[in-house]
Amino acid sequence: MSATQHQPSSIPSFLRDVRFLQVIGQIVFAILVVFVVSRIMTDVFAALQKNNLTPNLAFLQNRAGFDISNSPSWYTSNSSYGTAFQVGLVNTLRVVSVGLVLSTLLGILIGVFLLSRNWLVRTISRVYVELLRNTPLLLQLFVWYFIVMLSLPIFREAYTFPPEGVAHIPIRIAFYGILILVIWWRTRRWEIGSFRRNAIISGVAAMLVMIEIGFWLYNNQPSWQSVYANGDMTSSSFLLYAVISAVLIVGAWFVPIQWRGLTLGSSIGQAIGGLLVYFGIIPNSAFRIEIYPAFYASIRGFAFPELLTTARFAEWMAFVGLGIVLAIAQWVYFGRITETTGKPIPRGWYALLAVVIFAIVGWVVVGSEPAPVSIPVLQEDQTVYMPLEEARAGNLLTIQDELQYNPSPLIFRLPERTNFKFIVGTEIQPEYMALLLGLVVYTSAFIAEIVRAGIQAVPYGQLEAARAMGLTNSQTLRLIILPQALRVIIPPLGNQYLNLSKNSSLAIAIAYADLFLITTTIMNQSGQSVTGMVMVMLTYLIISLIIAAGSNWINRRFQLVTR
Amino acid sequence: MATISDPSNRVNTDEPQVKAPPRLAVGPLAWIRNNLFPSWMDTILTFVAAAVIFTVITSMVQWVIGGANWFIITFNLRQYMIGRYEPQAEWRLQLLLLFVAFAIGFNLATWARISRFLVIVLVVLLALAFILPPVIMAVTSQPHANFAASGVDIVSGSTTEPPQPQVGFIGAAGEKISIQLAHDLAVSDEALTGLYSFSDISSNLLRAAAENRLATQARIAEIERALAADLFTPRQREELTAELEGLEVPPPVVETYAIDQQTVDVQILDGATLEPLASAQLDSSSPPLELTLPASGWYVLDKRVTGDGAAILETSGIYPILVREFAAGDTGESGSSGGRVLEYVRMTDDFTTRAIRPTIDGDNVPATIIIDNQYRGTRPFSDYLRLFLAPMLNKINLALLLVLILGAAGYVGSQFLSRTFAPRIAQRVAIWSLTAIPILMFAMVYGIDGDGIIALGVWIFTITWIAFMYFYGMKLNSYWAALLFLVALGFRLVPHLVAGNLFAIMFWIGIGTLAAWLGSKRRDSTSPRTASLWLILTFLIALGGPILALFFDATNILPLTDTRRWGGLLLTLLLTIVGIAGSFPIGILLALGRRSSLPVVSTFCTVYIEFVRGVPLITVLFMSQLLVPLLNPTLAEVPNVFRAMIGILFFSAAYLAENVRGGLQSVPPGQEEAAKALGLNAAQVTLYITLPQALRAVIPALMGQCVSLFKDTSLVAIVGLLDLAGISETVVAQTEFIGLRRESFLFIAIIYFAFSYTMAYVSRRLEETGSGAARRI
Repeated sequence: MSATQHQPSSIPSFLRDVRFLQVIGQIVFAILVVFVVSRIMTDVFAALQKNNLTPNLAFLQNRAGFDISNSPSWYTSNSSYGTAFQVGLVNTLRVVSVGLVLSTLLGILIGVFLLSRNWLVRTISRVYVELLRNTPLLLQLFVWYFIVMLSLPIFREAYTFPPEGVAHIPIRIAFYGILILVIWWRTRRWEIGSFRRNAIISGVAAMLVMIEIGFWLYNNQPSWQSVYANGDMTSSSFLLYAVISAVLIVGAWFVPIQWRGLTLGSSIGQAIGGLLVYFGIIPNSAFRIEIYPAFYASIRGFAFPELLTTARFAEWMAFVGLGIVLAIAQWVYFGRITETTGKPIPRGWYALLAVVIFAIVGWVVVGSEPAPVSIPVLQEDQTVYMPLEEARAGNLLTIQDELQYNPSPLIFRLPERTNFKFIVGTEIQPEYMALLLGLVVYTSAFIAEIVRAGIQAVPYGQLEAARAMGLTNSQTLRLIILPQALRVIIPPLGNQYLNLSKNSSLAIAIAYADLFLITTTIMNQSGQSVTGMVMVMLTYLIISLIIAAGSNWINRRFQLVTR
Repeated sequence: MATISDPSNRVNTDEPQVKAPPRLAVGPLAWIRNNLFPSWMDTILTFVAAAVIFTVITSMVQWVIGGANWFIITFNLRQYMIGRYEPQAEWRLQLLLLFVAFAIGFNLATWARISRFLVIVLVVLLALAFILPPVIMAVTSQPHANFAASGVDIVSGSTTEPPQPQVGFIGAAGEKISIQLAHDLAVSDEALTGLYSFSDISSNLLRAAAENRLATQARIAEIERALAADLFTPRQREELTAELEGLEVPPPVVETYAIDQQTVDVQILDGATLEPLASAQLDSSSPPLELTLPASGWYVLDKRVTGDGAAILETSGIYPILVREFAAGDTGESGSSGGRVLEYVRMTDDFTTRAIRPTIDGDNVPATIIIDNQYRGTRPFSDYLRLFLAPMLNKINLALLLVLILGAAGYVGSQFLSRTFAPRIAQRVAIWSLTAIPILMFAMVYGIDGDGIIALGVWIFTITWIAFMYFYGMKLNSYWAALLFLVALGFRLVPHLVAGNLFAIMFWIGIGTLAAWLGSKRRDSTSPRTASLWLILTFLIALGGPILALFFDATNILPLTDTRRWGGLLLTLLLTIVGIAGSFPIGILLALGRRSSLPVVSTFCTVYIEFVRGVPLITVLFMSQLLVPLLNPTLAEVPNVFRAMIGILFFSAAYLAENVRGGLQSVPPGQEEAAKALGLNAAQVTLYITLPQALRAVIPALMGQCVSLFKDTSLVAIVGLLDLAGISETVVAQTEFIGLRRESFLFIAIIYFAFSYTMAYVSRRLEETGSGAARRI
């Protein structure tokens, strides 16, 4: 019998049982891990105990005692270590959140450029991507900070945008705008190259050129003043001009048919233009606009306009909230209709419209409340009561008063500076800007490649099929290409977001007070290095997990649902 | 009726004239139309892009040629490359470089082909590197140097500077010095602003004063013109009026200082004896004073103006110098005992002297040091070539030549091997040469100390004994083998027995028993002949190891180097290569562990991988550099570099594990099932079936990781190591090169880019041609 011929092994049967061996192996492994970890932990604790630095969290209550540049108002050097840690966390989140948005936008733009039909644009974007991907982020941050930021001008001579000054905008520009809009509206359905279209477009162009020439002559050569608004029909130059124009118009009838529209249009157009100027029908006056800068850039940082919420902001927000509720209701309702009837409804636009309408109505309603007739202001160390307008004219309002009594829900204020500092305006320190720009530009190169690969992953046949079905370009992009490309794009994009959040810790290289830098300072001062390190690592881990969870959630929503 | 024979009725067989296609449909015009101006939008984009490119490139070229100070690179090239590595051990690095060049050439020939274009480009570049310097030297002349002489102080803005009556300089024997008045500068202030080349502070101040005056004039005119038009807000108007009131045009500089209108007494003194070697009274019409230097060393230029005014001397042969100070013995000299040594290096060439700086009345004569005698003004192209390009090429061309020759030798060697023997042999050599690079690199850079050799010998001895027992087990019955092994092991165990290290004893006995048992199991499948062969071989190695060890210990050819002196590109590459090579096995184990069906193992690996991937590298480095030594004094003795390496290694392993896991997932499950069906056990399935396929599939991803690790090593600069980014910061912090960050950053950016772009390019080629099948680079 074959069963009896089976050779008995010297090894007991349970030793040959894979399941048993696996369990034993795992137990041994677990014991090893626990042994090593506990050994390290005891070493660490022993070393710390010797220096009286047993890890604990109580030190977070102690006074920090160091200053943080550009810290929020709730932090002073008397705050606790815990508060300092919070400042670091806020600073990190400030960079990461803005960086995520900006790098995505820039990355998509460059990614589309990488696929451009235009060779020059394509090549420049390729060089951009390769240069940024193949040099270390640290070096790029150094360049942004030490070379770009530190070579900005001193505070007094800050770059401004728009440059301060007075602009004169001729009123005729408005006339041109209306004219071009009307022409475009009338001719947009006409066949390209048809007689009427050629005549009208060339006529308008010739007229505008003629008007500009007339004004140029008038404004630059005073002896020719008679050109503008002269209106003297007996002057010899006018008669000469009229004759030449008439000859041109008559002559235009005799040119070959395919050129006739162009020549006729332009000869009539120039004649009309000349006459309009000559009789002064088009005014030469201009709007005078004083331009004050909204953005300042200097070695001390950047300044932006600030947006302040007044006491009535809450009332306005109630209106906006109503609008949002309505928008959501619309969104859901129209979505149902589209699902059941198949009728396409632009529900996004409707929702937006609802919010905008409510916001505007709310602004009008809230803002039209009468300003208080008399408010208390300090004048020469005593409180006096006067109307808001009067107080504002007398420059007696503090910013708190303004926020309390101004009827509009939001106040928008341009930056204002003295010789040394900004008194109004949102300021951004150069370290923040350097870090943000460095992270955004570096990450955008990677995102661009991801976007390019994602779009290229959509088969060309999809595009052809969409065109064959008569979808417009924007519909093709919105309904066919993007949904399929996003499926490929989102997972690696999430990875780049993770990288950006972790790379923000390089702030320490350019002394931006982020989480890591502040914790390093805390560790140096309190000696609680292990606790600090664990806190930093856990915080980054949590940020990473949140971003990963978010990108997984979005990924699930966009994945193809099969079976 | 028409018939076929009727000629008028025949089909016209004459081919119609073939019309050329329209100009815009083919050729370069069509390309331009399709790629640059396909639509209105694209036309606008093209013009914008062209404008951007034009501005960027022109301003870049202008800066590189006319503005940048490349002395920071030419003078610190060694630091950028290898940091402060011991000069006496530098030959090891050269040898290593040549080996790496050889290995790369060999691998290129084995796995791919080089396009002819690349070869031509390389040869042309090399030829240029050799031909250009002598051509530049022959065609261009050395730039001149300007010195001001004056009886009065020179004032510009808030700066006042009295010109020095004497200035010391160094020169080699046989060099010609010539001195004359720069009379073409003294015509007007506009001419004075054209002063360029090496200039001392006072002559530069004269230029600055002239520029200042012209700028003030221009500014006043601009404000007056602008105020006349209605272009300003009231606030600006107020500011500008105030500014206008404060502006005042100073009198012409040329007249104020009566430049070059007096005679100047010029003398050249010997540096050691202060004896005058030549002297002249120079005025604007006199011929230049010329002198051929009799010996190498210090000289002093003495210049005095008789009247109340200033003069600018244009000299040739006098150039700024760099003062280097270091501890005697630092350069590897023998016999010097402590103290500081001053060395003077001329910037324009590398002429170096250690002669004592001359003193007059006990004070050091002011010298033409680089900080005071910078290159000022706009630099002409010829000066750029002469000062920077030629010296730089001279420094690198020999190394380039050797590297290319060795690379070519490797290339030819591989072809020879695969033609004469078999491609398989060349491939094996190629793989071995690649694997040898990390080990050899580490051994060469760090060195091998005597104790280490002994330890290594003991290790070789131990391992070969185990192997010996294994093969002996093949010949003998397993029980005998185990017994013999225990005896042999006794020798290895003696130190542990004496020290009473129970753990080590258990370990060695366990290993030994295992080896003998395994050997005895294979007895039946191996012929006695083969077993004997292996036996003899291992025996020889067992004997040879310790003998070799003793031999090396006696000569000690590779003494340990100081890790604190490693730096620059060397450190960057070392961190990268060791990081990749070291993280490879760990990463693969982690990947296998994460995919394992054993819950404990896979949980452990998953937690490790996800934790490490969730924290920034800088925290890991910070821990390894600053926390670990704080917590454990024994670990504090491990050099910083090694701790950083270990940190990078464990960090990189987690990322590598994820890449490998991706590869493992891409292997179809049928492969594993088939292998199991053939009777392979778990280890064999992994080693021979899944892992090779998985690794092959993720080669591009692994190359990508190499690139990112290479870039990430720059973070060690933050924790104080002097890699390429770190050394750049230290170089820029030197007084002589302060404020030259742009030059330094551009240089290291080029290095980083060259390396990582090459890696990325190779990875892309691999990806395009299918993994591992690139055939042309």
